[in-house]
Amino acid sequence: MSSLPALNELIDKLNSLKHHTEEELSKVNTPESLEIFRVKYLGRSSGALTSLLKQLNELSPEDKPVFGKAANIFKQQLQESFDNKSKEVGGLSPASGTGASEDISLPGREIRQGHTHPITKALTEIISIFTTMGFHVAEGPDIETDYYNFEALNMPEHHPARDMQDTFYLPDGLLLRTQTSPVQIRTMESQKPPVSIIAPGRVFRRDWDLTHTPMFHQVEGLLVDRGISMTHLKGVLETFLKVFFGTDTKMRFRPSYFPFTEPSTEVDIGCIFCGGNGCRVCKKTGWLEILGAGMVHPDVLKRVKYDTTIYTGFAFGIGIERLAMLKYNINDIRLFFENDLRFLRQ
Amino acid sequence: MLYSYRWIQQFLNKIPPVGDIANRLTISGLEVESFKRTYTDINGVIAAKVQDIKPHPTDSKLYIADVFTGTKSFTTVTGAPGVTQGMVVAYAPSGASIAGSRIIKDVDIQGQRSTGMILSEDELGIPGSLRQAVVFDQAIPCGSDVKTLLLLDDYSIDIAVTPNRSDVLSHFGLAREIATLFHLKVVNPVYELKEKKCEKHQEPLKVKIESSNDCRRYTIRLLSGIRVEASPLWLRIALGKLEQKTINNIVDITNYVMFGLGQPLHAFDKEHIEGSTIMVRRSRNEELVTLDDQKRVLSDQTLVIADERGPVAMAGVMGGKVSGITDKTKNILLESAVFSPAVIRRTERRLGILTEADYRFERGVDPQVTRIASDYASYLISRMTGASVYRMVDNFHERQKKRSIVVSMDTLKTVVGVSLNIKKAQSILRSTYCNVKRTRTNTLSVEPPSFRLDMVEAVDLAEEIARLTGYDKIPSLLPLRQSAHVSLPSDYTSTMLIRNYLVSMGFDEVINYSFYSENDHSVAGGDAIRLSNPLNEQTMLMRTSLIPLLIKNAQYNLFRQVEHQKLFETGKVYLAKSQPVGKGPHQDENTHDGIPRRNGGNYTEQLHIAGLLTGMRYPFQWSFQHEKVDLFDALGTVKGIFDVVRLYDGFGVESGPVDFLVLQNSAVIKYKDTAIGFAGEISKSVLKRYDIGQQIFVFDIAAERLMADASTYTRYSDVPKYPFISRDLTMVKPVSLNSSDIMKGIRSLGITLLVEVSPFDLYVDKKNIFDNVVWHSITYRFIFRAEDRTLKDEEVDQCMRMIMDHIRNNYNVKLKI
Repeated sequence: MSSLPALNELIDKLNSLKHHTEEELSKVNTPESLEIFRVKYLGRSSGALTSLLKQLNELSPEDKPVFGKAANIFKQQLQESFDNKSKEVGGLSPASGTGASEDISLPGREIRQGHTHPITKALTEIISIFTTMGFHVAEGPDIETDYYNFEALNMPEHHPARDMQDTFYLPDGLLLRTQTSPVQIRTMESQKPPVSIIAPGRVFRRDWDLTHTPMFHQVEGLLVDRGISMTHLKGVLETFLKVFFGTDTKMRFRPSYFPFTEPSTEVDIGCIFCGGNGCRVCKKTGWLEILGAGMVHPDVLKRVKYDTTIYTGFAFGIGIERLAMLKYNINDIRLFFENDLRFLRQ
Repeated sequence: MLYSYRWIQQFLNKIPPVGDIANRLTISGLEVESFKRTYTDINGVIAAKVQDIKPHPTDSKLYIADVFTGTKSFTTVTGAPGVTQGMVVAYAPSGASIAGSRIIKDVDIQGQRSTGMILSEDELGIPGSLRQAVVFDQAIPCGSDVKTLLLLDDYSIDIAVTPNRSDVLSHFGLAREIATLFHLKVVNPVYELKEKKCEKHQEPLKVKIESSNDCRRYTIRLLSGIRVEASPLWLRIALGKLEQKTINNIVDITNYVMFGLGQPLHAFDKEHIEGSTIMVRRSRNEELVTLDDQKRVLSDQTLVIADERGPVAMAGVMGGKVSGITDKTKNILLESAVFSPAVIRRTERRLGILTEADYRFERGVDPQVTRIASDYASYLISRMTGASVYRMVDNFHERQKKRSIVVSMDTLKTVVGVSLNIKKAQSILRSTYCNVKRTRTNTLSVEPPSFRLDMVEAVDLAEEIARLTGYDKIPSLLPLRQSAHVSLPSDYTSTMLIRNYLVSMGFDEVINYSFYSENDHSVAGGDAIRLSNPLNEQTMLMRTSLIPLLIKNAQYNLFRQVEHQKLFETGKVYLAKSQPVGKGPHQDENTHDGIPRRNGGNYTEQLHIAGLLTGMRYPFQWSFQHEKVDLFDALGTVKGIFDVVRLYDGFGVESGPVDFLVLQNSAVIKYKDTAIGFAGEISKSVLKRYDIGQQIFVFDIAAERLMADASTYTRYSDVPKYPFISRDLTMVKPVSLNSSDIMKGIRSLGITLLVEVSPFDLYVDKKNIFDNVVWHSITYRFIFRAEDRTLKDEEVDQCMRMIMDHIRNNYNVKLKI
């Protein structure tokens, strides 16, 4: 019996160890000294606690659980004190001596975001630019009458300008609008001047090849008020193009022809691909046609019973696909409607 | 239209460089789409004199010729027939290139050294060419460049002429415009014409015009003793540069004059015109075989030229076959006329014929050029064939008054925005051939030229002045707007919020066409609007649902290895009648932001929001469970849409069949007890049709009702002051008993302390299938709270007893306590 260490002897050692550890831990104030502490007392092979526990086997069977329990309580307390100290001094990880317990380079839990369609992106930006300039947003039906799509816009049945817009017809004399301009007429019919609207939407033309899709998007604009002239048309459109394409965008206003505007203009911007030097995209002209516009023809205003001696206005039509292609570097209009996710998820 | 630079040059006192012309025209309203050099493959070909020619010693088809190029003589072997001594021919010296950029090299032909080559027309690439040598006037100096001599060194200029500018649809017309822009002088076509009086045996023709509205001017004249043959070289070259086919000398001359002066002409074979009176009248439902061998049925909308027997031509569109020019034609009647644009267009549209002639008539032809064109063509034909030209019969309904537009400087300022000096305005308008008088201090009376049919009112003159001044001279100003408030369509903001929500949930936005195929429609069902003139099978019908094209999108992407997809579209569907789509939910016909949806036809347009889910719920990732999407992903997404527009309480579901969905795995979606859409799994038969092998879930809701009630406004209330108490209750219920019904029943008890009930655990007891029913073990969490005090356990216990009693008494349910 005497060769066995007495239980009391071990309990004393444990208490003494407890005293030492408390005292020593209170002095620890750096991660390095904490690590020294860890190795000294908690080290798995030669720490003080480990060597004490090794003596457990030397106790008598009835004393073993008594000491075991006391030792475990102490071990837990010590570990807890150590962890607290570790948080305090920002110690090395408690679980290992070499560094992180997580492979922080693994990807985090991310729910993949979807993507807005590029047409929606362009439309949203265009709408926000014009609403900032005081334009209201109006809408009209995709299915239109001949009157709103053509006649009210100075394109009676035999007008050659109809050739420029090959039309899808529906039964009952209806058609799919070829332009968003009918919204002009609908708006002016329902409200008195001043009018300032843009009308975004789908339009349809009977044309499907490399550079045409049978459906595309336009934004129509209309401003009618006292004293509106071509200077304002230029001001508004220049502002729009500079915000959309950048302040150093070159542009030119070319005379053109639309039946419902007079004078009419087409607006070109300096080719953004070649900087105006001439390339394939601008057909070596250095310019890209971007939109059509003009002063609203007095006949159009008269038809909606506006007094043309008081009111003048301008209108414009912007092709969204074209703008989106230029702005986002998209080289094929068909990509917009193929809805290839490898395209959309960019 | 294509123009030849050299041809334009004929009508100007001098011509600016082609690049300058292109730029100036473009910024003045005639967009030059391109200009290209012509005959770039021909280089170094010169005129040379044949000094001597003798037969080849061994080959009877060949000759040996000595040619002199002005400085040197060469010996060349030629097969070109008709070459004789003393002729000046086109000669390609060694190193020159001919048609197809073929480079000429010295060769040995049957033992004879041949240097260079005497060229035939086809070796110069001239259209309609004959296999004969190109021969020049004896006076042409040897060594002259053949490209210059034949006007092959030209530019072909392609201009997109807007429909209002019919006056420039000719070389003369374009020259007139260039003269204005560059301050040059126009040179009129040069010709002299000796007209003969008609003799007795040549019946004097009479012309009767039924209505001067259909035809303002009709002229016709006899040319006798013509010879129909191939066109001379210069004529074929001129038309070839405009990419026009050559037919014969008579037809080619009428085309040449049309492209030169803008007046379409037509030649009839006199032998096939009966009687002495030509009628210009509407057809009386007759038939006519036209030049293209088509039998045309003419309506009373068609204007015809008729002799005593009937129609011989569709006026301004196409001539009849019988009276057409043939090799045997000896005498012709040459027509030059002005027909009504509207009438011509109607015929052209109805019969689908687009010719250079009707293209010009429907845009308007200058009635003052009618006679000049006829004279010029007669002169050319007479010079070419030695024909006699007889006096013209001219029926002209000249307008009584000349068009005169009064324009004040104030009007110009209103339109353009800047003041304009009246003298400047006057000189600009004069430069564009207007007759201008100053009537008052700031008013002009302007008489536009006969060829400017687009100048009708003051704004037209404003445009002309602005255009010729340059739009770049007009300053830019931003208008001051009175209204700071900007209105948006009622659904604009809500749609944007929903779109952003779906995108943040991992959905990619698609935009599909508004039309689809018969096959797509057979999935969607419903009364679709049929297109009258579809372009192809993808444009047969207006879509009644967004779903078929979403399935197609999924198919497209699955075929391209994209297995996991979440797609959505916000867009319109189009219904022929207001009734449910398929057997699915009911949709109301509605008006939308005050725009009538019905307009002469029986149809509606409705905004829908639809989505598609297939593959894994979350991306493959080390820490995610790899689960496939299911019905509840679709339903949860829809509930989220309701939440986005703050309709927290409106969402509901019920079971019910939807045509193309799996019945057991789909639900009808309700908003405040109205069915507005559905969610569920696409049926196998539909998937098979699209060759898709994996499960696909979709949702689709009609947005209009939602949008009407949608709100983006939040009215905040105080946060609760007292803590809540929660209780869990587990019950076993048959699947068929909707848990939402139980919740509804519990809510109807009116327990004010109960603030929330939600199912939080579900266990499907597969071993425990009794009564042939699948049973769910489901646990609800009940949250209780009082506004004014901390709740006591006893109060909550009492509430729970009420709830349990209600459940026991009303549902086929076992409570687990």
